[in-house]
Amino acid sequence: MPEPLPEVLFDAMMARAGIQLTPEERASVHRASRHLAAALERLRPQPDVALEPATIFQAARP
Amino acid sequence: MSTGLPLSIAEAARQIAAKRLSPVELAGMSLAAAESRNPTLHAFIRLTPDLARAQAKAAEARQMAGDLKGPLDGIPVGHKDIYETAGIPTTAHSRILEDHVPTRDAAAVRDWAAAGTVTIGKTATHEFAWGGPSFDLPWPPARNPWNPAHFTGGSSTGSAAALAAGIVLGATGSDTGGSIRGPAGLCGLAGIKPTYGLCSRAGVLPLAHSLDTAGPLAWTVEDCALLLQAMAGHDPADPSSADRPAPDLLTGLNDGLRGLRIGIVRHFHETDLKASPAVRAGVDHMAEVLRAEGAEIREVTLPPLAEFHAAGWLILMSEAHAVHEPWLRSRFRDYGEILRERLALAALVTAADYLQAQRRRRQLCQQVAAAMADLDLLLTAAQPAEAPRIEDVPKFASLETPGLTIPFNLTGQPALTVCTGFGAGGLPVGAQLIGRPFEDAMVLRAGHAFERATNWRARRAGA
Repeated sequence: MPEPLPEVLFDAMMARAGIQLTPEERASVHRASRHLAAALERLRPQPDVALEPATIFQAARP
Repeated sequence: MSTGLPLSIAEAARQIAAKRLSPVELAGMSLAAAESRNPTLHAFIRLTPDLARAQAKAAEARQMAGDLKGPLDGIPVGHKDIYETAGIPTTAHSRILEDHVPTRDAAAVRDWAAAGTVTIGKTATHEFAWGGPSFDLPWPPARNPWNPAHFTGGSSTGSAAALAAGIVLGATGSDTGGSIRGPAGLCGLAGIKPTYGLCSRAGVLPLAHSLDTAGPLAWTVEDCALLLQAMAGHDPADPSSADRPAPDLLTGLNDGLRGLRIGIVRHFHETDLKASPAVRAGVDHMAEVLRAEGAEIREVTLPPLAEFHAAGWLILMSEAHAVHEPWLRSRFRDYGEILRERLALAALVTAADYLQAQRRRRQLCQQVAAAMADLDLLLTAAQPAEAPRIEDVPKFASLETPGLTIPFNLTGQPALTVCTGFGAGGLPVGAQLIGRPFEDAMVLRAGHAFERATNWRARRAGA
């Protein structure tokens, strides 16, 4: 399991979102950020630079 | 002994049509069951007895006149409290919307009412369909009727609890990462996440726009088909709604499985996630029954569950953050602890992260479609184990372990949970059947065949 996000980055992003955490909340959310880091690790290597996102998702159309 | 209703919708409809069951009496039984069970189960955050009695009286007048609207006429239902109801508070189980009284009905509420359903009340949910089980909200969390010390699954918590307790015969749910199929599995019900775009989400408070689906839960698959038929179809008020005719979900329900090709995604619940022996046995049991009913069963491999999990949760978190951003700035302390912290975590997802997840989503959709090129359905587990004790659910539960349900929110496919038995603790376990997009009827057909061939629907919670 990866490390949580760097603390400086974490605090900057909370400030950017306008979210004010108590010290206990900050510790809890920061600890959980390792799950986010794990998900990002899985997604970052993209084999095909031309791959379009499913930005507007459509399961199927007639 | 259960004080609930011992009937399915299909059976109740037959009795109502034959004038052997009064809609007014049925609504009275449902309201009495709610009064009796709700103090323990907290399935409803608001009962609507006046509305229920008025709707039941109207249904009974139609019954007496021989003018019933169809199989849902006079059927008691609950609506998840993210479905807007005109003149009735719709809170999302949150302090943020405690005083929110919509002026319109959600599309499904409107459609079910037009089919004659009787609204018993608004059911509990995880806060805004994501934060729970929480004990610091204006209403307590719903509890599992099979054992009230245990979790219902989420987020359609109260809908599942009300159905499993036999308080109502149908209920609305929403499914963004498994919020219909999870509670259906943990409470021993049937629940279908329809194809993305099949059912209107107009008037349903959003969690994540590109994943959210509206759908029904019920005691049986047949009942789900009846409920889904009444809410499926194009609605210009929902930008995601598919502009195509509503499918016929009922005519072929009893056609059987001969010739159907079903792929077991065994690695999802055996290696990617190690499900309990009861869950794995339930999937094998379902495969054997479906084979005996005429289906061909094969093994199939999809991308690893963790790939779906990573893309799915980054998309869900990012879109949820976009929905809640204004309130995060102005009313952060009004959220319960669990949703407050989950939304704070969501604020760490960047635009680039979100787009990487959407790029991976496109690949995953293509890979699943390719794997199903010569298959009609997929079969896998619906849950890792029986329901845990309610106080043992971790704050970031859905992030810690890959979920078995979110892959099909990403791909938009129809996915149905069916009860496949009971675990060592006496609580239900379930499996999922997944179809191609807009082949919801086939999913229901297979689930119904399984239920008809087994006896799991004879066992009720508290009976």
